[in-house]
Amino acid sequence: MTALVKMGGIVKSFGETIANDDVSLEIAAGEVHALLGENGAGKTTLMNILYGLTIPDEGTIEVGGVSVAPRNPADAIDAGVGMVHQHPLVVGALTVAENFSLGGLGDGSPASMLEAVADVVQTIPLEVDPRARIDSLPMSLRQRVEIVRCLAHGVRVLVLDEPTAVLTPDEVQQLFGEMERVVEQGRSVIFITHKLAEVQTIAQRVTVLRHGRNVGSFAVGDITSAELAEQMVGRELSDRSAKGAPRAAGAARLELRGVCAVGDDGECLLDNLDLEVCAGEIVAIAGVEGNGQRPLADICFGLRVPDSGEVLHDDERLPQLRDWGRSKVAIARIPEDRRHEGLLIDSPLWENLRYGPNLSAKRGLINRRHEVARARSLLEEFGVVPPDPMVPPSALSGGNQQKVVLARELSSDPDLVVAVNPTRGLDIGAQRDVRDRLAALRDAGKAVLVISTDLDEVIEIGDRVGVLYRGRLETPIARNVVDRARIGEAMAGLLDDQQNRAEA
Amino acid sequence: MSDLFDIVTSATLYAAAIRLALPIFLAALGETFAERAGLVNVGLEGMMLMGAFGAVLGSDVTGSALAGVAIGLLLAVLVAAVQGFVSINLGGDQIVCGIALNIGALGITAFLVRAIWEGGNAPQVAGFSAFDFPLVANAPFVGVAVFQQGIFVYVALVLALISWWALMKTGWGLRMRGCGEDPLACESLGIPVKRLRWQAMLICGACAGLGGVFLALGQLLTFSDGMSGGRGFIALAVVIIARWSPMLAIPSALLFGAVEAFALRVQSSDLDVPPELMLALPYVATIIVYAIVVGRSNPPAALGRSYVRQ
Amino acid sequence: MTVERFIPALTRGAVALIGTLAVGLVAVLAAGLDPVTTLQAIIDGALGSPYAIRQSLTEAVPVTLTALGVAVAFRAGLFNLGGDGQIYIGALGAVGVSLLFPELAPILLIPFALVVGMFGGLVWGCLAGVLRAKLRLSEIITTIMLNFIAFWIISYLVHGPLKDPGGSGYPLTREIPEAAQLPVFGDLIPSGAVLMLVAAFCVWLLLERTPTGIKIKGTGSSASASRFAGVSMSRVTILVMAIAGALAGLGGAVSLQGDQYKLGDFFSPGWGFDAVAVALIGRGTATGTLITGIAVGALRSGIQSAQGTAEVPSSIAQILLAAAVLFVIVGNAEGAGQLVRRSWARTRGLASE
Repeated sequence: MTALVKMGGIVKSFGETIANDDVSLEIAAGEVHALLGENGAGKTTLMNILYGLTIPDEGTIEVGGVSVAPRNPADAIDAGVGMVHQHPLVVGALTVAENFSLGGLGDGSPASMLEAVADVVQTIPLEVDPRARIDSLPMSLRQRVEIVRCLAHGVRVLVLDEPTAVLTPDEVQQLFGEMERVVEQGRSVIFITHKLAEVQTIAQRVTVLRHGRNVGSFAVGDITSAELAEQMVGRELSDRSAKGAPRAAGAARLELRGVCAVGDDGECLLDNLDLEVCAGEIVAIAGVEGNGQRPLADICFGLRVPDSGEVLHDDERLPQLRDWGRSKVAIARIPEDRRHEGLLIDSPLWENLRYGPNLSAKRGLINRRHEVARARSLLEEFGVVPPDPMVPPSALSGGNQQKVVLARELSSDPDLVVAVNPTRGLDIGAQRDVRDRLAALRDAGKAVLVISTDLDEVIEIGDRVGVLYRGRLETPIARNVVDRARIGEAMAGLLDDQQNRAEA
Repeated sequence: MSDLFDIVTSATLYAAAIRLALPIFLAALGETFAERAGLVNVGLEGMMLMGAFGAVLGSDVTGSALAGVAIGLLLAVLVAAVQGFVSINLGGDQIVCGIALNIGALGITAFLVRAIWEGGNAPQVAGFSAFDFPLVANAPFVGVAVFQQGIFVYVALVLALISWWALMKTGWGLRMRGCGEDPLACESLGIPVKRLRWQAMLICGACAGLGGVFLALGQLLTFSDGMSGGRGFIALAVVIIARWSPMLAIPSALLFGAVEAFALRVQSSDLDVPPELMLALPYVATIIVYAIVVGRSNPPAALGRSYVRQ
Repeated sequence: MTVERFIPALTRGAVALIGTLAVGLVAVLAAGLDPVTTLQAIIDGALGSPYAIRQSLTEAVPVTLTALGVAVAFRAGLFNLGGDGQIYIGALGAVGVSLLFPELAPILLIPFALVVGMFGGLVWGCLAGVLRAKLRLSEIITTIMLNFIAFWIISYLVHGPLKDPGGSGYPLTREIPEAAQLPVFGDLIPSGAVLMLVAAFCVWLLLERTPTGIKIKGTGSSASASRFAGVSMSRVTILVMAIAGALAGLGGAVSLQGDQYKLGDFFSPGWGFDAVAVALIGRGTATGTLITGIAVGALRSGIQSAQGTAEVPSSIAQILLAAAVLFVIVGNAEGAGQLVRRSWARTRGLASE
């Protein structure tokens, strides 16, 4: 076996945290090599180092037997390394052709750009109008544009950073097909993931990272999923704690009736959507990103008025957020992006624990000592480490940041919880904590709505499961009567097509 | 009323409009490069002021207006280099840095004027005079309005064309615009973001400096404290009004030149209007035009955000 | 551990101070002055006698009041470059009231004029706030434009309708009646200085002890988190610009009633920009701004009185302020932070070896 890529003794720290601690890695020519690890295990940092986006503190890199030290992506591309990021790094305001040109194809004049794209597309299929603006394309096509661009540069090593997160199950299969074609040509693919099933399906070898260290490389045939999981997490995973038996749900807490939302350019974001979330149940909404999750969440959060239809909370109109502050708000809102929406990332935790519609003070002044004490007891109750009210969230791990958001939102004793991708970016332990807490809320008789792009999460915690596709929602049905495959089809819009055909 | 009609229809009003628009246009042109590359440069005013000061200094010391241009450009580019170092290399707050440079430029020029020249006043210096453009200078109306200007007007027109071509029609310009939209994506494509942003910032300094140079050598032929008079900030508005396009910056800047020319004309006419209030007109016009246009503008996505690689 | 947390901040402060002093040294040498005697003259002029202290305080008041307003806006993420315009309109309000109601008793006239001055500044600040909140106009551009508009309005008034007919021909208003003039306590503490302290305390209370303060700081540190929290950005924007304008307006009124007594078109020697620098150096906190503001007042006043003896150009103050702001941003910058962290880690590594 000849190593196409050899990374040795890579060390990289960001301030106090060590992202890569003496990591070595060998990739053979012609293989799909999975890089497996939890969030924060250092996978992306390691690949950013290979791609020259991050400069390592120590360590050596060889590509094709030649020692390289990429100071920037240009060096890495010269050495034959290409990388496609989780959120495709293409310039949204420019066209497909212009994005190809930015990568060095053509001389920049409009005609040469189109020619260059035409050349590329002859060898690598790409069904897209080269004059289309990138931000008019769905995520999967943007990713495809970026992959094709990398391949057009003749890279020998293609790094894909969690590429399946933005794809439907069907698109994942297409991507895997493409990966197989690439390795057949003697090139290599490094495939970053935290999903074990994907490793088993597509990779020949797998390297597991944990807390910035390489725990081992294995041939995929020699190791079971359970063993891989243990390597990844560092301990044996107990079986999921048994859930309380599904109980009869109570009264409807949140009701959406015929809700429509229209975008800035007049496009339909939500299409006549009906939804009911009752006390004592978790309703989980699956769907690929960009199918209306954002407007749906904003409407349930009270941040957006539907263009038609009504939203009821306990049979009364859901108040808009700016009306809040007059009365106590009984909705817990857990946003998708905790760093930018959930938290003031550089303000002390005690302020964060107050920053919401229930912010108020007696006689207009805040009793700081009282607030800090309240914050400390909340932080302790929710197991935030460290429980120091004066540190900012930026000093905490992702899991602890999410606990701060939960602590704030649940401290007002809500009867309805709305959460968007509540466990995204958390390690498995923290994911467990958050999901257990949501289940506990359900068991305590609260109504819980979870909107998530993580299919596994939806199936695991939802009592009823719905799928959002192009702004339309299949009315949620009990989890035990739908199977995974059917949900996957719904996410890809196949059910729609079948229905249409049946009707026709 | 007939007085007002005379003012609006006189060819010299339009000649003055072009002359007065020129410094604003040049500064706006420079800012267009910077903002297209993702850099907000609030220090435009300071760069103009340093350009004007350098121009008077160079022209006074050597007796040659060309040397004035050189010194003016040099000083303005130096200011741009500070802004570039702080905002590009260190990732410091671009707006705060620009504000500091404006204050610093005010202080340094006032300081140097008193340190260099006797009596603390800059002298009258040699500047650029207007000339008749061959063949068309005597054409009715347009001759006086357009073709009896100084060399700067034609230089600026050429600069506008070159800038438009370079920014919108070349690979270099595409990459520079890419840096203003998504520096991380550009970096990951192997585009040298820092280098392109430095180029944009230095171009911006040179253009703003040239605006200051013209203010000094094409109009007043001397330097006085704070003589840029907020034109750097008007230029910031012009960039937005022109939607970050070098060509649209021409009519946008001309609009302000026309308002100022009109105000000056009314002020020196027999019309019974308080002159001070006429002098406030360009600033009122800036707010009004800005308010009308801004809702439809679409700035570069990464504008003003610092970008430092780990 | 706790000591280590503060060392970077202390290093930054020290570097900024040393850097600023170095710039000052260069400027003094460039002006052909002897640094030691110049410094002596400035310190003497600022603190050398009770009169000097009183002058320093008088000079500090308008800058500091304006800077406190800039600081509040800055914490909400806004740049109030309109201090000068707000000062002018504030002084206009105060001069108007003082000249219209000269018969009122001081106990009524003084606060009346101050409040109207504050209100004038508030209106001028609000304008920029409303333009920003409702039409999304950058306050950086509009406040500068409003400065010039205010300046020319005042210039028109003092050249025309409000010009003192009995004056010596200078464009100045009549002197305000004694009943409107602010007292000086014990010949040492101008009452404006007391107002300045009260204002600083109120700003501290607002920012550190009220829900509104949390909202202001919240919108400044994250617009998206504030939208999510249900904080109305436009309300906060208008509020902070109103506060900033009111404080600057008060500064103008105080300078008029406590120091200048007449309004002319060179009433403010650039306090608005000085105030921006002061607030930035004070990092937007009430205490930092107050301390920096007093220091700048002393520096300005020291330079002014030193001009008689050592010919120190007053523009040195601006140069020093600009340098200090630059050093402060460099200290806060991400890139510079990386450099410092790296070298700090290196020295610590060496020490432990």
